[in-house]
Amino acid sequence: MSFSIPRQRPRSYKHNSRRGAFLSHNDKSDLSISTSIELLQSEESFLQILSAIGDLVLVKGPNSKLIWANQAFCDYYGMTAAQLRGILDAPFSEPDHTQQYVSDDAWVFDNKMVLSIPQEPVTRHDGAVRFFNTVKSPIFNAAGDVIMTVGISRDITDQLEAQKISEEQRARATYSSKMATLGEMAGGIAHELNTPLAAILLMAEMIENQNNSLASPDPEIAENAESISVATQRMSTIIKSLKGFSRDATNDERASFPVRELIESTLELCGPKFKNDEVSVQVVQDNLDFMVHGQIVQLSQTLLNLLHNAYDSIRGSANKWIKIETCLASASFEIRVTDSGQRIAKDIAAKIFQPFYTTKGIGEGTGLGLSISAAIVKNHGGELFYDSNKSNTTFVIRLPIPKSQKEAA
Amino acid sequence: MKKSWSGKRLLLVEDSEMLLRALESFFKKAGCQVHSANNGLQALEILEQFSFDLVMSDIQMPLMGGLELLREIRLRNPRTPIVLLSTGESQVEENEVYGAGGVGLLLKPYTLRKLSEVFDSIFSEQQA
Repeated sequence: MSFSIPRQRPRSYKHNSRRGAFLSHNDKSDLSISTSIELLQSEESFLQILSAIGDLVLVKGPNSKLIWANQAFCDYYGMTAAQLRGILDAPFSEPDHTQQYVSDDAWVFDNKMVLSIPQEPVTRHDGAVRFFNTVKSPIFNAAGDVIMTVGISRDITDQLEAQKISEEQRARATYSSKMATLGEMAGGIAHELNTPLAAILLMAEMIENQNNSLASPDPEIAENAESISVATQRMSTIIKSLKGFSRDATNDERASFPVRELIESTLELCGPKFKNDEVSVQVVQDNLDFMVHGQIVQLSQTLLNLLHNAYDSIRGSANKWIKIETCLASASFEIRVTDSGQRIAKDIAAKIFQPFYTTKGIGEGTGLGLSISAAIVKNHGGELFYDSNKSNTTFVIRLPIPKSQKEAA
Repeated sequence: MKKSWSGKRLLLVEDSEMLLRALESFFKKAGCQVHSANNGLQALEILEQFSFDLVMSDIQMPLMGGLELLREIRLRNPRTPIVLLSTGESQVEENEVYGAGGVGLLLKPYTLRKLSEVFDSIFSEQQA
């Protein structure tokens, strides 16, 4: 027996029975609809309606044994209704997931209440894991005991994906506006400070020249004047790197530069702060001449982010160190940043690359650093990841080896 | 400290008094005749009365900045060499300076060696 469900939504409908919502239609001329109403009142019709629903509908008895599943559910698991009947929920899922489903079912049985699960992973017959929004409701017998549960699960994977993309876009916009503000400030500071610095430098050099032109120059004056010159130029370098760092470098041309330059210019910005806090920074000297191809400002932002995260996580501890090392493999080049902190807890590690996720206090972290850094490295054809195999916290910037160097090798 | 450019007449234009005094002192010691101004307008007034072998001017100044001064001078005396001083906050400056006929651009803070190099090259070109 088959019937067709009207594709168009009826112009009006109402509950005319306590057993469910049946369609009633004013347009008597539409025979197929009045026929449908009759047919709907049989059990088989109910089943057919349930099977026509795109969401997964699943009826389970005690101990999560499957009683009935709609077509969408059967399709998702790649099994027939007969094959599914009587087995435990979720034949392909990880044991962790299955345990969760079983305990959710038990909860509904015990509490006699509807359970709403905003998001849960479900493994498909081909191994793909998709995310569902599920509502599990109890079905009662006449005595008021729960005899079955019915679950309706809607696939929200695409929705979550879209949400993630828009969150990433928001993160990027927030970040670049922050950098723009910083860039503007740095430009202002550069202007305000470089003029007095020019005067100081000029005068220090004049003192040095004057001293040198004496019959017997005073070595102390010479040395002091030289120190002022060096200090002034160092200040100017810091202003310059701050300016370079904070400008919007998204559209910079890519260039080749030794990784040494990337590491040194980045340490220029944070080295003094680390030193003040007695955080020792070790740069392993291997491979420092390796030529990286990319946007140095952007990669420097990434490295600085990793260094600052490392610093923030260890600054309260006793034996503080950060190690930067590089590793040249056949297909990739890695910059590894390790700190003296313990490895990150598994549940936190799973979230650290999500935009706006932060373990830092309010006002201390935006939760954008790692997600933006990851996007930058991805833009360079590489990946940024947390190496959970190491006993200390280790982050890795993995970059592809430039073509020119592959040929040279 | 004799320079190849000793005896030259210089106009220094800079709104920072501190830097202006340091520059005056340096160039006087180097044997130059120095006039100074705090902005482009003052510089133009001085240029009405005197002629100079070289004008050295800051870019960002009140009333009239260095780039505008450069254009004004180019209208009056196309041959006076002009060196501009910048704090380097704008990347288009270099093109603008050379496009408008400037002969040198120094980024603050500059060392005496750098300053001397620029002056040496300007005056040796003139002699050649």
